[in-house]
Amino acid sequence: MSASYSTAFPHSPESGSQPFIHFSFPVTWSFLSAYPGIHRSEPKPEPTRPASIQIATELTQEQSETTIRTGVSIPERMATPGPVELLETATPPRLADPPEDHPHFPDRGGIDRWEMVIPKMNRPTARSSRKLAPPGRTLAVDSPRPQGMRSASRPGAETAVTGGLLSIATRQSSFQQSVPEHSIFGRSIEDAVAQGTSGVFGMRVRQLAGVAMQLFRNRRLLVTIGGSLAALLVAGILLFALKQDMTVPRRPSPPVVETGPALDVDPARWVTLSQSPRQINVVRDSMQLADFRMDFQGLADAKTSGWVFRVKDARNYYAMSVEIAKPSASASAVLKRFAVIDGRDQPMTQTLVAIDSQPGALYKVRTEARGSRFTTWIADRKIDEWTDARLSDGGVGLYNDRTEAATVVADLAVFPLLRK
Amino acid sequence: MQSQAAVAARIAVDQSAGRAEAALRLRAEDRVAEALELLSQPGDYAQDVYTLRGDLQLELGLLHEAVGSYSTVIAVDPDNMYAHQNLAGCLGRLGRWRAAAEAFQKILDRDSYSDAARIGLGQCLLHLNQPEEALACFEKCWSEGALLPALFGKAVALQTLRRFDESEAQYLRLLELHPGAEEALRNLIALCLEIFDLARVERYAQQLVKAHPRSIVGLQALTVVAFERRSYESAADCYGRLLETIPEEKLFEGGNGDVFEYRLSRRNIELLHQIRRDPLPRTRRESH
Repeated sequence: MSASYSTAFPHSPESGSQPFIHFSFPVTWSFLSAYPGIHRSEPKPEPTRPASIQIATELTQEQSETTIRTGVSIPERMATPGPVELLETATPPRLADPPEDHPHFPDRGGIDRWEMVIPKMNRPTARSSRKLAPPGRTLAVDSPRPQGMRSASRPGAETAVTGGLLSIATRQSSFQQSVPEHSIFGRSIEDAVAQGTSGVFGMRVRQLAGVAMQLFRNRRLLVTIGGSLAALLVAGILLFALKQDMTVPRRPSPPVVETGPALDVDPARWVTLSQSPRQINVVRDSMQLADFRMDFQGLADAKTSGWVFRVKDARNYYAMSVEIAKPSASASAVLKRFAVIDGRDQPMTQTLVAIDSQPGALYKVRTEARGSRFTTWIADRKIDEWTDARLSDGGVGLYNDRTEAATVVADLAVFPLLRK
Repeated sequence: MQSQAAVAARIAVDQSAGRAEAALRLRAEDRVAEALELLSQPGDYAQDVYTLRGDLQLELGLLHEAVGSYSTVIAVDPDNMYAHQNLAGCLGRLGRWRAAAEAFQKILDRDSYSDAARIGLGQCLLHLNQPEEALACFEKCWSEGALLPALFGKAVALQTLRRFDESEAQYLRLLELHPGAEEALRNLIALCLEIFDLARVERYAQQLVKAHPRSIVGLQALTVVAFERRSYESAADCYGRLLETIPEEKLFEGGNGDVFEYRLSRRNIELLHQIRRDPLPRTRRESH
């Protein structure tokens, strides 16, 4: 479609001194954008969409953790401003997210990007033994309880601890309200003895009362037992805390990495590995580099800035590039990355980035390789992280496609990362 | 304890529902930014809240954010055509034609009857310089509602393929249904200039200027035709009308290699200016 025209003419259109005026006749197709659904929401309602807002809620109790699952479905016609629909409750359960999983909306300071938030799916059904006991029934013995809470399923033991040890008097707690009436909670041992409690339970109380009386007679023994029990209690608490701690998966401590001296990136220290289909230039001293950090500043004016690393040869390397869609105050850019293995380009991954820079400005880029993990920051924000173990070491450098202008960067620095 | 949890749950649900309801109410009052702000606060994930948020972001032109919202919806519900359609539209508006084309293709994979997706895909393919694929896409459109864009798309694809006669036929069919379609006439002028058929350039340019008197392309084309025919007074007149529409400095900013260009030197422009100020007598004009 590219063409220009000038004719032989007494007043030839192009005759005379420069400059020219240009009459442009572009072929455009913005008419297509006006079609509904291309750049606007389609008014046709989806058959699967409900006719009104629905709130779906499911409430489950897992130990002391409450999970609320909520889903709100809004009819398609709400896409256009209109009257507010009434809310109505429905049953289908929806997803639950812990607060930390909510989508993060970064401020649009220096740089911005969109991110896809994948909510967590429903957990498997909770174990039945973890369900909350209904009122009026005792808690399962093995269920964890807050300290100080007593179990009604072992009344004898409870009596021995709370009543027989230091204080005969019992304490009321709100929890005790759920204990059945036949419990001895709320009554002192003396009362129980005095009232001549009958049966096995009565015998147990009498035995305990006898032990208590003997203990009172021998204070030294009492102190010894009390101290032992206190020690046991402390040990139990420590054991419990340790167990809790062990349930949290421990991260392996990160290896200590030390940044080595910067490589010499003087123009004389570069090697051209390839001219076609991509021009690849690599820092000579980096050819065996495994872990490294690479810093440079890209030009917002330049359409593309491309860099390569772990370059084994011209047919095996990782490549990344920042492509500026249009230099402007809030230019859109795309961070691309792909691997080239045996001369074949592997699937490319693209991340949209918005770089807030005026034309002519610079934006900082940092890529770090540690083992098989690669991380990239643009303008001091982490943009991309990925793993690939196909290439373990190789050169670091710059590249550009043959059809593109050469990559020009400023303040390039390559630091080896040394594992300790 | 259970009752306390139930109360807490009920409060949370009510808050979530209240947020959505309040956002819709704000939106109905044209307070879209406030509605979006409300939905951007942390809360439980809800697919349709994200859809609504995407819609609000789209309305406010926050395309990157809208892409994020719709992508999230699609991640949970891959068959949500509404989100797919809007995602594709956002990507198109961002100029990410490859990604937009893929999004439209996904729609067509699920709904092969969607002409909207076909038109969108065809548009992306035109931007990706794949006119043959675009033409095939436009030719598959079947619905009455898609007739005009399909005709237009086919015409552009054929023009790009330099099948000018077929392209002109499509444009003329379109103009029968939609007389005065500015973009179709502009493209027809470009087409006729490329084959340098001045008669047809003039015809379409006059048609365009009649419907849109300040059309830059129409006035440029009339100037070119008059200049090529040595009708300098007419050329000067058209050029003068053109300068009422666009500053002359803008005309010196050309040089886009992707379009058909007609260039006039400074000397010729001076001539046109001179004629405008002092029309040439017939004898002098002929001797020129």
